[in-house]
Amino acid sequence: MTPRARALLLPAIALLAGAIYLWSSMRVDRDFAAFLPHGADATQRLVMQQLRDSPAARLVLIRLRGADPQTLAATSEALREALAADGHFDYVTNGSLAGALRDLPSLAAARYVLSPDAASHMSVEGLHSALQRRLAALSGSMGMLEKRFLASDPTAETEALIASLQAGGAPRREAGVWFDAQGSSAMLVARTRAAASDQAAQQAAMQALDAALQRVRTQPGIAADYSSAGFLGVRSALLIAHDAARVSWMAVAGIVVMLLFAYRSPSVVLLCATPALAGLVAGLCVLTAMFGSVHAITLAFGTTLIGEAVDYPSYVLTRLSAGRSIADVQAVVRRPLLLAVLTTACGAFAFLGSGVDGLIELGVLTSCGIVVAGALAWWLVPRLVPPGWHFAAFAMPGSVALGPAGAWPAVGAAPRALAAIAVTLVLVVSAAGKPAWNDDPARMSPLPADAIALDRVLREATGAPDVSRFALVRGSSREQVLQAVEQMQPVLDAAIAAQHLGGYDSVGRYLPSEATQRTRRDALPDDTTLQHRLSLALPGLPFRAEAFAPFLRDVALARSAAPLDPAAFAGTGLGLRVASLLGSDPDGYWSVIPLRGVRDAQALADQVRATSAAATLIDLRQQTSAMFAQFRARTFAAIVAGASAIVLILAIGLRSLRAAAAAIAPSLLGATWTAAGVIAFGGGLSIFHLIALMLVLGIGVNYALFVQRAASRGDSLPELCVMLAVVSGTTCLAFGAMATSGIPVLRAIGLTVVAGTVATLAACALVFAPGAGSAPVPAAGRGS
Amino acid sequence: MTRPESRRRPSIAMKPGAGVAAIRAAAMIAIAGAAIAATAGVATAASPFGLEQLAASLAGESRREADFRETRHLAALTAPIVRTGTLVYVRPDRLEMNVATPAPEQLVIDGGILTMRSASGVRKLRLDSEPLLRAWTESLRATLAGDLPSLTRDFLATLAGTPDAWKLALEPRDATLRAQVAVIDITGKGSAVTQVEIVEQDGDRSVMDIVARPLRAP
Repeated sequence: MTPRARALLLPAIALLAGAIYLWSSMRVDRDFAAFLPHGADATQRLVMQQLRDSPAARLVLIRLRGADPQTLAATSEALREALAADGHFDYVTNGSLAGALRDLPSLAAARYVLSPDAASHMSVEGLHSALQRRLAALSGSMGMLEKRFLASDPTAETEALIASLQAGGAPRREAGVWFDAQGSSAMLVARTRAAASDQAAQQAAMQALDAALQRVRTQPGIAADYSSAGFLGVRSALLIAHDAARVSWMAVAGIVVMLLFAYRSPSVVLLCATPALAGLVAGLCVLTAMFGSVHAITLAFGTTLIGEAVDYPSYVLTRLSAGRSIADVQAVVRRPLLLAVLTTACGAFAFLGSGVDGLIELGVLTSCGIVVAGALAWWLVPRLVPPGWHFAAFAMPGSVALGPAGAWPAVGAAPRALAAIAVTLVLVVSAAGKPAWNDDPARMSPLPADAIALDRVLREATGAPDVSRFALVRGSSREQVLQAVEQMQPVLDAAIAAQHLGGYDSVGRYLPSEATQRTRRDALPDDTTLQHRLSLALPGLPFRAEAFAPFLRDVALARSAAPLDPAAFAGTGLGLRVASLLGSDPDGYWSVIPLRGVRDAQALADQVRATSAAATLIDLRQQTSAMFAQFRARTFAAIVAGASAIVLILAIGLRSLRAAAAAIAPSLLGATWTAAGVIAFGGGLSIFHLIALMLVLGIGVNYALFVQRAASRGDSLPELCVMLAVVSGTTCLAFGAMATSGIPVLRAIGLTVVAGTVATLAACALVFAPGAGSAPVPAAGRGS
Repeated sequence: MTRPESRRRPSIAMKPGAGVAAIRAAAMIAIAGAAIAATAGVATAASPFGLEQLAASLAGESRREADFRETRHLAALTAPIVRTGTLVYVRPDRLEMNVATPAPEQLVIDGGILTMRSASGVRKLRLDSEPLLRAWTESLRATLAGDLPSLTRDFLATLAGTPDAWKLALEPRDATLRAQVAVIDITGKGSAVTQVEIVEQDGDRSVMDIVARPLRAP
């Protein structure tokens, strides 16, 4: 066995072991929510939970178009039957009769506590006019239905309840089923059995729905589309997975081609790739051991890790020109390489404080990967470089302009400082007046705009609540929450009257508080009184008094019944509604009041706040924005901490505060320019831009360290440029691949890092010059 | 909290409501439609009188009209409710019931949709959104088409009398429907249906007398 083969054996075995471990244990998580921050307080946690797992998030809105209403209605009915029989869905409705019938018995049973004014209908006058109406109805075509209600419910409370529950929000009906407002599309609403965040189950439900649509489509012209929070989640996960894979392959292919061009030796390219690959595997192993799974976006970042780690052998290899020994080169680059690895690892460590799962993963992956890759590069390069191989520097385009070979252009400190100030000024001025931060979560959604628009259209057509706006009531008991909800109702009714609000749904309609139930029960007349009033109301009408025995019995029963609780509606559509509006979590009880057509959010929020301390108006977009802002602030703090750590490491490593300042100056300049550019032309900085800037800082320090070293030694400038071209080329390829991604998060980071890398290189040229401007580096390594 | 008796809530002796009314309305005009359709049939009875023969004769021409008078006898009322109006059948699947008194109202079955128009507005229902409704419309279609297998699948049909004075008793096979409707008696004279009586399980009944109108000139 040759020494080279022996040197490869150990890392190969470790790599293989790591790969086997990953193969057997690593799960890839595709839930985009991993890149959303955890809620910091009870409200935020509930908001996130509502966003991911609320029953509302499980609703699937379906639209059928492209045929006459009769055909669409028949298709809608066939689809309803198909989905009702499908185990992936636990509820489906298209407004047809069959669904309504299921709710009727439980609604009728609770009529005297659900109806707000049942007792007032039981006066002599009330009973008389109610009976008059019953007689007229009995003579109509629906008379036989009236007959059913007559004996037990002569005041028609059930009928009124049905009408009040259907009032507002219920879609228009054509041919007996729901249609959109234009009457051109049949609408259905289904609910998945699985939680919206259960990606696998959501995907299965989506396939089941597709299959059902295939089966019920009797005419090729019928077009079906659908939307749900869960399906959108699946879609974004697929987009992420697809893009992550594409970005990775693009980056790897680009880097390999570039290194082949630079080194013209496959075995040297392999040598460059090995530490990076080992670093990636090591980082993933640590992640798997820590969390059990790795997010797809984090995996996509693996390629950026490769982009940086692949440079470590290059720092040595690009200097290995004919006539130099590896030991010589290693002696020269030892300190900057060590510092480069440490500063990058430290910078990535800052992500651990971000509070976002995905970012923490990223921090762990990067810091572990970088340290392993750096150490392995240092150890492997001297052992694996093919004997007799030397780096043949290629001609840099434009290197002629740099002047005679080896000479650094003699530009004074003043013009360089002026140039730096000018660039900074131009960018800062163009950024001035524009908002520095942009925490709009919509900007981070990987979904295409048309998917979001379709969701909005379907939501409007079905009258499904706007998932992004609702009032939230919290309390320590169910009764407390229900009472607060009842307090809210008049306020919301007033808001509707004032045109601030289109409509709302409230659990109070289905489940009044026990206090309200008691009031309503106590207002019902006792048996003797009711019998007496009925006898006074009957004269002049052709009814037999004894026919109303069931009515007397039901009122008496209602007066003595136990309070209504959610169990009364188990297994009905009403039960599903109650469960979606009322619930409990470790923080207590909550009720959600979905809102439709919010026109004046501020006025509404003020009224809600003024009414009850337990209630808040939640704007999900605003809430998530606020959360992002909060975490952006934390990330900013983490980055400041990371940058300070980098300076500290540099100061210790370079044994000079001034040298440390000089080493970080180009990346700070580059990062500032990039940030100003993003604010000026990119619509503001998000948490993800900050992460990218942190990467720029780490990468820039690496470059600066080597430029500083070369400048202080008066090294050949073309040689330095070639080295920088190779290392920044791999970085730009890796992040450039990310910049082509359709996922806003990846695209933002990719573009920012590429821009930042270029800016930092330019800043390096302005900061460093031989002898002038840069601090002399202590003698260590010089001439050794 | 777990006393079962205290959990009892006022129960209402209600079968699925709106659906039943719609079924009833559908049934009423379906049978009425069958009746007017039948009035156009040919009453030649060479073979012994049976279901097959009646079914064969229950075939109509393209459009028929009839006057009706419906009397509803309800236990809760001291006097019956009387409704009058006209029935229109247009082959193959359109039926109209135009109520004139006591309050104007119109019911139309067309292409599987039941439309009700009254002073309180228009309501539409799909007949096939309910198995019961489907059974009723199938009975209509089967009757009009003389499709005996379908008719006997949904109802237990018993025919009595002679071709000149017959009575067809239809008992629903569907349990939900049977819980409410005991029997539907259709009385006829030759190919003309003269009366449809729906007897409910609780004893209430509705009797509809039908008088065919002379065919209008086309």
